Amino acid sequence: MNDPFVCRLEEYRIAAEPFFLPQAKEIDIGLAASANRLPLLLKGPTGCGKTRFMQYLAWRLNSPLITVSCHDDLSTSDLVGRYLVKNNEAFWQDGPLTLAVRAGAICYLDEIVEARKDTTVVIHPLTDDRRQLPVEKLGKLYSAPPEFMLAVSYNPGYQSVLKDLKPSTRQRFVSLSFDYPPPDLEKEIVMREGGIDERLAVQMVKLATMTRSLKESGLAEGASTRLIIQTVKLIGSGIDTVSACRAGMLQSLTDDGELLAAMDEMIFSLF
Amino acid sequence: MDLFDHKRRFYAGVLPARPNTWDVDEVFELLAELDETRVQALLSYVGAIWPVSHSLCFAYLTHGAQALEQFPKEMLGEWVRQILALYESKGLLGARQFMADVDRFFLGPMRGVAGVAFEEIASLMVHYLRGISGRSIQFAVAQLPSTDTATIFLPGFLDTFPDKQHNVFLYKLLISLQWRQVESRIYCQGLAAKTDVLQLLARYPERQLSADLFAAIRFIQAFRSLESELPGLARQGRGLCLGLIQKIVPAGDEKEKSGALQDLLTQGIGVQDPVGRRALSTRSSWKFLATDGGRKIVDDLWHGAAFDVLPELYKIFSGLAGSYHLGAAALLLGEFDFTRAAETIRLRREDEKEKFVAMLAVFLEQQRQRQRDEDGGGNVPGSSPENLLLVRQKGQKENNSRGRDAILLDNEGLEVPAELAALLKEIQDDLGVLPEAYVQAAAGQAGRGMQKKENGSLEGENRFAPKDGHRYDEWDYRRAGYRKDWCMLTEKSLQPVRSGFVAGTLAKYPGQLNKLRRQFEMLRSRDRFVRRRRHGDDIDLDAMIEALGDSSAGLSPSDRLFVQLLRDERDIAAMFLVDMSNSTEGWVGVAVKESLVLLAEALEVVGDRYGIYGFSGMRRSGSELFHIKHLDEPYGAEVQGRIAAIGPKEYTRMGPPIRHVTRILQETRSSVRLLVVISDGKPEDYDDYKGQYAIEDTRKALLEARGCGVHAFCITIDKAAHDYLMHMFGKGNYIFVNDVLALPAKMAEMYRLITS
Repeated sequence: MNDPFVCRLEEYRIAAEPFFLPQAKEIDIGLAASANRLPLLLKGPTGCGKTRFMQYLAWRLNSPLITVSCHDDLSTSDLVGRYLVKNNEAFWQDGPLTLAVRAGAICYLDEIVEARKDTTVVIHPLTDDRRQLPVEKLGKLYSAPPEFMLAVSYNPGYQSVLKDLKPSTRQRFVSLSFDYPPPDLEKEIVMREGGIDERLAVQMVKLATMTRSLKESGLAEGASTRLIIQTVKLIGSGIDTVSACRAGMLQSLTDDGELLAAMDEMIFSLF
Repeated sequence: MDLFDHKRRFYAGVLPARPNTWDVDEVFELLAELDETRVQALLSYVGAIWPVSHSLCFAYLTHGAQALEQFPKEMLGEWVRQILALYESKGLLGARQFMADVDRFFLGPMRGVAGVAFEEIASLMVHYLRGISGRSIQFAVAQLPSTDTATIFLPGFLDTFPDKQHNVFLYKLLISLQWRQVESRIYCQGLAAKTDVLQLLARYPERQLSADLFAAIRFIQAFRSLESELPGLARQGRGLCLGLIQKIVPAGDEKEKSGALQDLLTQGIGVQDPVGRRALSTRSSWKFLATDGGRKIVDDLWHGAAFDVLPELYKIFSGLAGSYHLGAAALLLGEFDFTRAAETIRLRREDEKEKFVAMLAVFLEQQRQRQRDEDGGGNVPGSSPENLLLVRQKGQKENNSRGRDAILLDNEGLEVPAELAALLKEIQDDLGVLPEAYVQAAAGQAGRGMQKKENGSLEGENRFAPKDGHRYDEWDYRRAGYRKDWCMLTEKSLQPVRSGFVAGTLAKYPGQLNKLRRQFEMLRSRDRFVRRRRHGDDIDLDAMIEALGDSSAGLSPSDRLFVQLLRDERDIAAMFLVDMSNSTEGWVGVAVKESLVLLAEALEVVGDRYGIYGFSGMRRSGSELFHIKHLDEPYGAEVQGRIAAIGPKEYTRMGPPIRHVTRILQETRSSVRLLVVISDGKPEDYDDYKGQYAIEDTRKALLEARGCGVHAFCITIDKAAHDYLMHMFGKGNYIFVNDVLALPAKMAEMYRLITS
């Protein structure tokens, strides 16, 4: 137990089964990808269950899940690792990617398009049949054990032309497309996660579905399943439905006065 | 200033036009009565109205002289805004009517008169309807509410209730009720029954009664479905409906029939204890509806088909004495025009069939091509249309909407593209099954495509003589091949005009402009600290620690130890392609030009490279691209003059200009290339460049652009745009602007979103 890596790694193992309802065959595909040592690409709008899916998959595979939220300042050292000094001695600190490779864990790079393109190149040798991670400073080439899995996610719904995945990166993955669940499934998720009755869950899902229809009218993205759950939690704490819908859902979607007014009309029609 | 100066100012505002002197003299005689400041105020809007319509401008000056006696000059801007909006929707006549009665149409609503014009709330209701229905249904004005399944017709003005809030709510309720009529598929049922509904209703001796009862049944059913779909609306709407139902009055002394109709509707909307129960309960009709048999009928109303319940209900009502006037309750019952709806459904189905056949043919052709490639180019036995089956794969759950459809081709399952699957689902939902003929037509078309491609005789026949210009191929989806050198595009330059348009626009949107400048400045000045630089403003602590670690570990440390503040380079080249077809005449064209002015101002702040071109033309040999601003041309008076000179020309053949601008973009060195098409309708030309053919060619041109690394987006003002735009531009690559006045803001906002 003296090895710091093992101790820390255990923190990333998911003990209890996360709640996840599959929409299609994503669990089978995820397990098959893992069995065949293939990397996963999850794409879908924000708050539709990509991260939850990874948690579930990690639980099924009994593998630790190391999540990295990518941003434009993320450097290769942040992923691979670096030397640090302690008591006048240098010691090597693995980055999350190296940690996952060495321990045979799952490394999940969330919102990969946010990272600079030169940073993400480091994952290329891990995503083909070599499954290797070169660590230049250590002069080592780690081969990933069979349990290691790399997963990345991104949201193709952002319309920005500056944020897209390069084909050379994209074409290395098994891709799973996520979307908001169909109403019945989403209702079950909301009931379970939010702890509310069926009637309210149906209404909340309806409201979210209505906002999703406004995408072509200038709404960047409709209300996600996560936002619905957030809203019902507010309702559960005693906030009245209209205020909760406004604060928990609609105001988070846009600042456009006209769209907000239209969505307000939807709330009043539903509740 | 004297009359001469006023006229001089007027003539300067309308340049380069030279209006008739006598027209001008006539108008200025009226202005002579006004004081100097009012005349100046009136003349300040000439620049905005003249380009929209010359006649409107003269009418504005004529009525404006009188109007300014009724309200202060500060309100003139709002008056003009409403005039222009009305001109756009109702033409010169509508605008003239508005101007003629200032008190009723302009000052009345401002004083808080209860009535509300649909125009006032249209843009809000468009979003509302789109949200609740999830589809694009249009609005149009009619005397009574009705629908043809693609459009909801509503009265242009409602003043049924004494306060405005209730009237707005009534609009919302009427829209929701009509939406339920569309969803109930009553019109599709009418079409499927193959009986003329009008004849069906005409069989009853009292035709009006049968039609009213039919409408009453449908209203009750729609209201009941609202209770489950939009419970809040139904709850609040119940009282309002009751108020309207009570406006049904007897047409004579006998009150039995009118009372019964009131009772039926009251019970229908779930009010069990209406206000006047004591009075009603004395009536025979109420007694009947209170019996078990009566209740059963009312229950049947919201379960059975309206056509089935009608005879029994008619029998009861025809036996009652008296007659009735519906009054304002007619709004709730609405109208049912089955002939119009049948025609709309027929057109939609035809359109869907054409689209489906085209998409499936392309898909099948691609599959065959792939198979041929795999088999080394030999003949593929057994891939004849007879072996083609289209099946819906049932998921584990029946309503699993994500269950993709699949095509079985020679017993091999192929996954259909999402867009085709969506269309397939739509057709299956509409017709119950996918007609065999659709698949056969697609299979036949895909096969024909191959043959035509092989002989290529068409291309040879139709080549035209070489001219100055650029030749472009055109995609013919029917034969899944290009028509070689089919179109000729000529580049032209717009002659700049000197007018006050740009200055007027800048003066018109001062707040908007400031906001845009600020937002775009933020894009430009997105400075960020770049770590691990050799030189910089500060020490990069992370790098420093790493270097110390490396050095202690015996490695040579990096010399990149600084952070530097760097400005993000925006290496973007954007092309704006503006539709200059004749349909953009009027307020649409003005809004597009204003948008360009605002956008250009914003882009000058951010420093992106951008070009503006207009396109129009007639026939395949007459495609024209008008240069307004080249990519690296400075934005100055010349360009401003050309923007002001944008005007309606001929048709909208989109393929050639998209291909040409893509070629220009390909030659630039920018890392991000953007093509923004601003349009007000479907691609269409004078010849056979129409419908599915035009859409497919435009789509192909956009796919080619995407293949060259050009990102294409579309901003459209077409109210019926949703269905074809997704096909052409792809999901998320277009935005629809309902309110023309919002275009300048939305256009800049979209550019900001896609480039940040």
